[in-house]
Amino acid sequence: MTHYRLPLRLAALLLAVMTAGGALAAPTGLVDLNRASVEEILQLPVDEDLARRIVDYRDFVRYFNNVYDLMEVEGMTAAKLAELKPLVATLPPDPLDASIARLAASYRQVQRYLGQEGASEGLVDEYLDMMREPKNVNDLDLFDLQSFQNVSPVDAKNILMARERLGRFENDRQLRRSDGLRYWAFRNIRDFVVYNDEDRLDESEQVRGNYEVRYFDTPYFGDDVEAFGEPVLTEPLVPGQAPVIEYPAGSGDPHMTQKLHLNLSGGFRAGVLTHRAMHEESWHETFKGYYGVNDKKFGPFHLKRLYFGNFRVAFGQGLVMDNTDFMQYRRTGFGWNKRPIGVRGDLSRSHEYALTGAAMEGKAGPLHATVFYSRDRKDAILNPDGTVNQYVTMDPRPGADWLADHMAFEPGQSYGLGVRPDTPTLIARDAFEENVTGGNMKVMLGKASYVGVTGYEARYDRAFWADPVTLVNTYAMDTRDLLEARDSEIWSGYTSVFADPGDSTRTEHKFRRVYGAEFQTVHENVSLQGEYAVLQDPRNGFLSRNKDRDGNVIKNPDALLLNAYAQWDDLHLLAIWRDYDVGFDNPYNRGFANDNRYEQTILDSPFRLNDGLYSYLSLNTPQPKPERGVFLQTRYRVSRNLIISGLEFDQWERKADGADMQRYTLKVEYQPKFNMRFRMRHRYSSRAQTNPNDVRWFRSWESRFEMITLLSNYNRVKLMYMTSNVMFPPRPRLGGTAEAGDEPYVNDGTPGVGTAAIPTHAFQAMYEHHFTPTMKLTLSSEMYNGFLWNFEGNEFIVVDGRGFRNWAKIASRVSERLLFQLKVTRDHNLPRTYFDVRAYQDEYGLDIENSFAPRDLTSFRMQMDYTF
Amino acid sequence: MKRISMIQSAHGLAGILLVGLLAVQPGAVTAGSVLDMPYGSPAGTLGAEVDAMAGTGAAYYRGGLSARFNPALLSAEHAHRLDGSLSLYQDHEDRFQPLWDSFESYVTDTAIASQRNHYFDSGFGAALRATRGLAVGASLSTLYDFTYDFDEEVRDPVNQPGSDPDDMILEERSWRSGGRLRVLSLGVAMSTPDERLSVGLAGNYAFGTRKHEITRRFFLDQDDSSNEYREQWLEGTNAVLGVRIKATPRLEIGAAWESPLKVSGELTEQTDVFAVGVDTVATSASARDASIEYPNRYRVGFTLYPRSEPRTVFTAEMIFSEWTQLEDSEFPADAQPRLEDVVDVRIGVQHTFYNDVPLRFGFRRMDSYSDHEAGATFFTSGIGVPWQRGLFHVSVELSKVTSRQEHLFPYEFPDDEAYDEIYTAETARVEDTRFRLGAGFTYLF
Repeated sequence: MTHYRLPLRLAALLLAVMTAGGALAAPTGLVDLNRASVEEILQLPVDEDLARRIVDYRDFVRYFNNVYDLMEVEGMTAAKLAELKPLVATLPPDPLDASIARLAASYRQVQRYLGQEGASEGLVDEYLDMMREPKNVNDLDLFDLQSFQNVSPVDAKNILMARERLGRFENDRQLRRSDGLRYWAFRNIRDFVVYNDEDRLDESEQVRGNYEVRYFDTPYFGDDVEAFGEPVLTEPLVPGQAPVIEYPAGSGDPHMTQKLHLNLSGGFRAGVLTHRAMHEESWHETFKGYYGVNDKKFGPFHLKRLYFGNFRVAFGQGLVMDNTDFMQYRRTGFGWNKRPIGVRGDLSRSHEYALTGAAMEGKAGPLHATVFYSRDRKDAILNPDGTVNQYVTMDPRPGADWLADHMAFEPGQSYGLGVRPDTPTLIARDAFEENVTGGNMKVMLGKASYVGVTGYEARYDRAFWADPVTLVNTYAMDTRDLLEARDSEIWSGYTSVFADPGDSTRTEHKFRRVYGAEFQTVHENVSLQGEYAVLQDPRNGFLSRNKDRDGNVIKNPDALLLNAYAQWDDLHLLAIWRDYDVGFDNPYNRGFANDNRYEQTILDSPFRLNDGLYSYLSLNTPQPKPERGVFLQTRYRVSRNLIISGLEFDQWERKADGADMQRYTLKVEYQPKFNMRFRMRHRYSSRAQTNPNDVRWFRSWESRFEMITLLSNYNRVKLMYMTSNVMFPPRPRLGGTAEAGDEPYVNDGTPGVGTAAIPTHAFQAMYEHHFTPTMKLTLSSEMYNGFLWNFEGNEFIVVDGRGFRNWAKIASRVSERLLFQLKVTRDHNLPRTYFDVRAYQDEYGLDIENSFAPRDLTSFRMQMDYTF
Repeated sequence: MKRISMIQSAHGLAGILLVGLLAVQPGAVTAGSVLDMPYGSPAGTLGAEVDAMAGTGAAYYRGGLSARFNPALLSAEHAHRLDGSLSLYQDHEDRFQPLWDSFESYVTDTAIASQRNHYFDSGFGAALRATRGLAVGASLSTLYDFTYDFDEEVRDPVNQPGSDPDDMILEERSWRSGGRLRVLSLGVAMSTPDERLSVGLAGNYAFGTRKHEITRRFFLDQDDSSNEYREQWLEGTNAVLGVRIKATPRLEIGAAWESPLKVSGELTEQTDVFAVGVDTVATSASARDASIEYPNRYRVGFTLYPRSEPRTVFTAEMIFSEWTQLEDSEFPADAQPRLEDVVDVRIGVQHTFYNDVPLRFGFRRMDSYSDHEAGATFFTSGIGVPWQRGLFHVSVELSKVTSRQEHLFPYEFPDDEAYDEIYTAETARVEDTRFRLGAGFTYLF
């Protein structure tokens, strides 16, 4: 059908771009249908109605590629066409804005980028930027090349060597022929580069940019609800009195993000972001912006980026500095998991670790340097003495008034099940001031080899004291078997207050220094990278060590990451070794890890804490967990039909308590025919028992099978089946014979009868119909029994329990400039409850017989992107 | 009915409108969250075509219904057009309380009350072009509706062997709000010869009733059961002034101002008090005049006609209603209800396929004037099917409001020590979900 002429349209757009700037004129005497007015067309043998329909079709449907397209116009006949043929022309239309055309041509890729959230936000903005305003590949340096997805240091070096040999790349083919450059890497570069400065657009006088709004009211699922998404009890559960139920940040207000990104003339950039997480009170709870410039040359000095306002910085393997609120697990820095090395303008949703000030990145000869300064106030959990216990990422972030009321809760009051908070709630917005000064310097030792140093110093208006008494309630603190070695992550946090027990002297340091060194080298098809970082104990000097009161040399906690990577055309191997001290509490560390700091500690249990809100620490702390271990990963394209898209092996030790952990993953993709694809993913992970009473060991496996079939060019079906199981020892404390009013956690020796496994089965059927190349309807049904994670389009979801989940999504490219997406989800869910559930009005011990309370959830999602 | 007779005799066109009016007169209309009941829900239906695009109309022509949105858009009419539409819908409400496990961990919400009710509504419009540069239109539709139904029974939670039957009913309660404020709009639009600028003016005549009835019936104790009934006739006029600008062939901008609407009429109240198992023992009744002055409403929007295959319309608008300015004569001047100003954002898309079949969808987010945290989100879609000189429309709409509310009735239990340990939270999380199905017809002649 003529409605599916994407190739023709793209060819027309390409032609339009190629002919940009050149005025076209129809041969003498012919009427150009792509430009003629109604009056001009009326000079042809057509009546007024037909003339208007021709113009209407051209203006509101599409340009005419050739004269035969006139048959699409209502009322046109073959005879009339034959009559008109010698009298008309269809010259290429006025070129669309070339950058819009580029985005339009890469519509699906743009959609994918726009849907990405979290730790990749900084890079995605840059990819979109480069997609519409590509850079000259002949000007890119090692770090620019390595920032592209799936471009390894080996690929980057091979491109640089080929460029040196050729003098410059003139076209795609030359770039593709670079010795040792994998096709996979080439594919991820070609959309972002041009080969001549004349093809670049970023020097134009025109203001370009894009505006994006993203809205959804999908409720929190999984663990998140325990701490903040749903109500918390803040007053005693005393029979006869009503419990006061509080929502941390109001209720009902949906998530909404707006982002405006501007490309100004001369390489200048500006951007503004407003963001409200669900339940937050103000639509601009997070408000960010920046103004900056890219790529200015001053003699031998190349100013790569200079930004004022909010900026993003990352270096090396992220051990010293990578400022995002989002933890991306197993971020290798390879493949799709790139780290935004250097400086970027920051329009991410990060709030707590956002940096505000100025940052500059430049190079001169073999030197590549970055400096930055930030001054901002940060949210924190405070100690009763006014010192800071921890940075805290509150998501959602409660309002100041709500927190003030919340903090007014009197200490010492009985709370819940006999638990006594001894400290008032001390979680606060903008609790302390942070002044960060830092930088990075690299010296190039070859095409792709360098050594570098990174460091920053943060100065505060309060000292730090990682005191667990503030966080963990007295009952748990007093009951020694509830606090275990794994919880040492809590009290090993950064402390800069020291008191002498002999007298009342107290020393406070109000700074934190982290510094380190990094390197990279590439030889043939092998690259080596590494970073070593040190957190200076405040009692030590910058490069010197002192002794403590007992005469022992004070050790600076450190972190080390080394990786080795080798690649061939269809195969690569990656090995990563990491070793982070438990005391390496660097809030800006985003190094490779399987878990985040405080996860799996007592902070996971809101009911053990002085305030449920302190669970923000285990849920949202983006620092990696102290781990030591090796990670191996490979991808192998066995044949055109069969790809081992991922084989991962990770064996590590949780440093806090020495628990052994494993995680193995296999992903295979098989495509026997063009229109049929099978995917399989299998994961096994486990945690070893560390002591006879340890109830935290587990074994878990998960298998997922997908079949994707193209029924036609416009119809696609996906079927998915997932099964998994998590096995762990029965928890004897749940088998106690507690009576109403008893201490609930007494283990009276009754054999454990608690849950021993969580099996999961899930099935999804998804159907996708393309009404046109730019409009798609997706329908999906999922049945699940257990814990399920899944990607729904670009949205990552987690559900738990038994349920039936249905959603429909419409995605339409309304015009070359405007994308519009709508999704509605209906989830009928029976939440998993595991053990004796108590109705809200019952006192402890009165189990209710039906422990399942079904709920239906309807949620909406809208996203709109306008490019100009 | 007197008013309707006047309309009937006025014009043939109004006669057609009357048919529609009579068709829906006996029925209830839109419903939704109880939060919108005091002064009515502004989320009533207008027509299947309009509903499918999230109720947009500030900058996109909607036939005679444009007299309500923005009368200047009537200038887009080049012949004659008639619209009629009916919608059926289901309102589902769940009231939840949190459920904790024995570790003080929140587990889930559990429903303590669940309601499901069905209603219908209608909208009609007619427009014609009088001369070049002059068009007129009329519509009849719902401006605000007050319908909300809630029923529950309280059963004995204390199972005392040998005394009461298990789960004995202690009390039946019902909360019924009803009625609607309908509006008859008559609009006229004039445009410049090139039609780049149009202005329009419409007069609205609003009329209807507002009802409220609360019934409590006790079974166990000798407490008095009661029935409270209240009904008010509402009648008033206001005007809408609009402008339409064709900035480019691809972009149209529309803006309109709707003046305050003062509706007034007789308010009657009656309270019947019963004793268990016997007839009425006491009745009190009163009647007085009362009025409500609805506030200013501003609409601004744009419509984009991109070059797109299939042919596409994208329209977006924002409506700002100054609910903080509402005046209710039932309250003293210095103690008026504390309402919130409301922003209502609507986005609609229409793709017209090669066989002239339009596919429509839309998104809408509207704050609540009663509670700023209780906004409603709408997802709409629909299709049109050409038939002769007209088009059948079908629309579906799903919307949700989540709010925290105090209980409509207090949870009180008999004064007995057996009930001492029973207590409830002061508020519930309330989810109102509406599914609306619309069918309509547009005829061009």
